[in-house]
Amino acid sequence: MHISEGILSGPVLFSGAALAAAGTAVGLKQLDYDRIARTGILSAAFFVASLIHVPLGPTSVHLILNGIVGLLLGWCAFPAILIALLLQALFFQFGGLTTLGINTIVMALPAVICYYLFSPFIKNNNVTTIIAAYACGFLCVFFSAVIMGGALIFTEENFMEISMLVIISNLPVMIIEGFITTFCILFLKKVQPSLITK
Amino acid sequence: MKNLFKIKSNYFIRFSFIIIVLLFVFSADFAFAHRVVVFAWLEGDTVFTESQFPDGRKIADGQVNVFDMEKNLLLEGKTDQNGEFSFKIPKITALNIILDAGMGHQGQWKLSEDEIRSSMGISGREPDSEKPEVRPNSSKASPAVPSGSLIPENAIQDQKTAVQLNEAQLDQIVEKAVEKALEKKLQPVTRMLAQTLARMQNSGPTVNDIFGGIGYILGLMGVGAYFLSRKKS
Repeated sequence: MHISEGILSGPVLFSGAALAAAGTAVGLKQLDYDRIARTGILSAAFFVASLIHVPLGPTSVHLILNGIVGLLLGWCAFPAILIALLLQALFFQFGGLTTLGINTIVMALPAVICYYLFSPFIKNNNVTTIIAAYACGFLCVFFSAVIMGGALIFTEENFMEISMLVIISNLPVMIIEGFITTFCILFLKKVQPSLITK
Repeated sequence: MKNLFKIKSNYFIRFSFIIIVLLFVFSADFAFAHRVVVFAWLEGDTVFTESQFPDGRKIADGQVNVFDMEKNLLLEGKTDQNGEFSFKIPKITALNIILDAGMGHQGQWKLSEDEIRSSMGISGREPDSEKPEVRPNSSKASPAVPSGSLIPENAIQDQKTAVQLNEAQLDQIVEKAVEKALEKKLQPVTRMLAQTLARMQNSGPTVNDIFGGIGYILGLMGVGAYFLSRKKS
């Protein structure tokens, strides 16, 4: 999911950075005492998640976890993901510094969208929660793939083709993320319900 | 109600376990990576490149573009099933080899002009190989200078130059033969060295990196909390 440096053109990088800055500003405004600890912890989780490779036949996929980050943080997902991506770029050379803005948009914007779409249903009974949490984890990666296809449209000619390729190749990640999001939400609901209801 | 939930979650866990196992078994051959790596090494006048994902899987059918330092495209090609692509050095200049694996993945490797020159044997070697030819000429010219009084000595000198000439030629022949043999013998070694180098560069993040990153995040969290507390007071 990380776009490397030197692929996208200047305008795409610039608009990505501008949008990411705006989202981060909104997120930082909402950061209060309660949220700051949660944001830090989920940022760390997101930072590490990309390192967890799930072996899948001849290759492996890595987790993204932006669904659960969005569900628990809302707009604060922007600063959380921005910081984690910055550190990933510096330490692991995933993505890059110039693509930091667009990568943040690719992963944080779906998180916020999913927050608005699914957070109302998480507080309901268990069946609705399970479905909503699964859909959240699944669709968050799906939206990320779509945005990524949109960002690559300016370098790769065929939008439909590249989008389909990104979506299909990330399909296993979507399925796994759906399960992980569901497990996490169910677990938190039992152990620490205040995290979700707030 | 509680029991019902327990039963349901049990089902759920079993169901998801089965799905995950199925995924492992019937997984498709897709490429996932955060980054891709291309590395190149020189053997004579040929550049060999190999492209792979961080987990060591080779990139088949990746687009390789070779640029010079002025960003002019010199040549392009595709990697084969083993992620390899080789080409003759198109121009004696520093080369920038860029691999485009699609879907936003790109890697690059640079070869400096010095590396290319030394691999092609352009710098240093040419004047060296000319020297032995110059030496016998000059020594042949020198016997003409001394007076003709000491003929036997002159003859000995002539013989000496003949031996010298042979030695020089022999040197050249031996040098060439050794060079050829060495190149052949060293080829696997250079390849191994290049691969090891690439693997070192390619190695995943270390534990230090991971905990360092987490430490940074917690530190930033602390900074944020500090400023929030100052605002409140």
